[in-house]
Amino acid sequence: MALEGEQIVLREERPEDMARLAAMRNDLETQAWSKTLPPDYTEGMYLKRFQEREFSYDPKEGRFIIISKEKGEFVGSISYTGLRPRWRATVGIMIDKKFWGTGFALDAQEVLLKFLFVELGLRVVRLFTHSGNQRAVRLAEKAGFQVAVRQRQSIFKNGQLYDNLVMDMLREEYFARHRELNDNLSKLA
Amino acid sequence: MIFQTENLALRPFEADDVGALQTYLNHPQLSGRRYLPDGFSDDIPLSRKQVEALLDKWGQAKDEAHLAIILTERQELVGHAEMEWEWDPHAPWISVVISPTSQRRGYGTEVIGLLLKHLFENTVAHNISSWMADWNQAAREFAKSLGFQESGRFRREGFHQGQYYDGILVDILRPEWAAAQER
Repeated sequence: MALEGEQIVLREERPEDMARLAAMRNDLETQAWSKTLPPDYTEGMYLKRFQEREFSYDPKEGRFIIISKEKGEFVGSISYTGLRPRWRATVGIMIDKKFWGTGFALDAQEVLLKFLFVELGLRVVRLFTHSGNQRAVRLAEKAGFQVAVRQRQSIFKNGQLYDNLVMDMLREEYFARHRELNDNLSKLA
Repeated sequence: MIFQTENLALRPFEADDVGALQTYLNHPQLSGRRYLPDGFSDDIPLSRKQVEALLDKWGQAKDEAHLAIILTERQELVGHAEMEWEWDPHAPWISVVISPTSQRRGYGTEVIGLLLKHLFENTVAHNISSWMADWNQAAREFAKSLGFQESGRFRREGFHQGQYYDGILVDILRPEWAAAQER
């Protein structure tokens, strides 16, 4: 199964992606967290992280580059972290501003979710964002995520206090939206 | 700041706490709510070596504190208190675990009060949060009585006694804490 949507594919990171990853991280609009400032990330830092990844049959995270199918362009990155096998993971996405509003993010999100629920057999998928990032909230809601936790005033960004939002989607909620798929994983309760 | 209340003192864990810590972590009533780091079971009995590894992990953690709660009068270990501000000191996380044999004596209240005072009076904390399993009604009532508000549920946080459970996030803001101090 290729990680392929209608408009995009997800592929592994390659050295030539590193400059673009740094550029997205250094854009105050594409990176959501003031915690990750200052915007002085370099291609070299990303290359080092890339080169230090070790081979494993038990990875706790997956990182992908989103590529447009039509032109083969770098659209952004999407990842999952904190994998608890057969249970849950946390997803994150970052899109080059050039591709905002194209539907590529939604497509990429669906491809990753299908992988997490159908291949990895997760029971719940989470993501973290904040109340100042309505673009991210809407994107997540379109795939079926809902706001589960609203930790008050705990994020400071753009000079404002925002609520930290945890959004989540349960396995059966995903399959209820995807009638074309069968859920053959055993029910726990 | 003195890490001491009327009945209790908070101090770092030492090597000779291993036995007492192992005893209460393995107490059946703490099963499913030990809230240990990844890699340490929440319910399977822990060996002495595993508890030593846990103390090593706690001791080496950066931007976290894991303190032994000592009943001053008897110099007895009755639980542990945790604070974590790795993501952002603006919004630290706290937790208190009291040994099942020492619960319902108000120790948890004393320790949480102390942690809140420390974080609000000596750090930049604005929102302090904690969480507990939804079935743990005692802990939820306890958090509310201390001024915390329930701000959501991490759905399907875990699986316990044949049922999924949610994690309840509770938080308290600096102005809420300050107002409560004046009452």
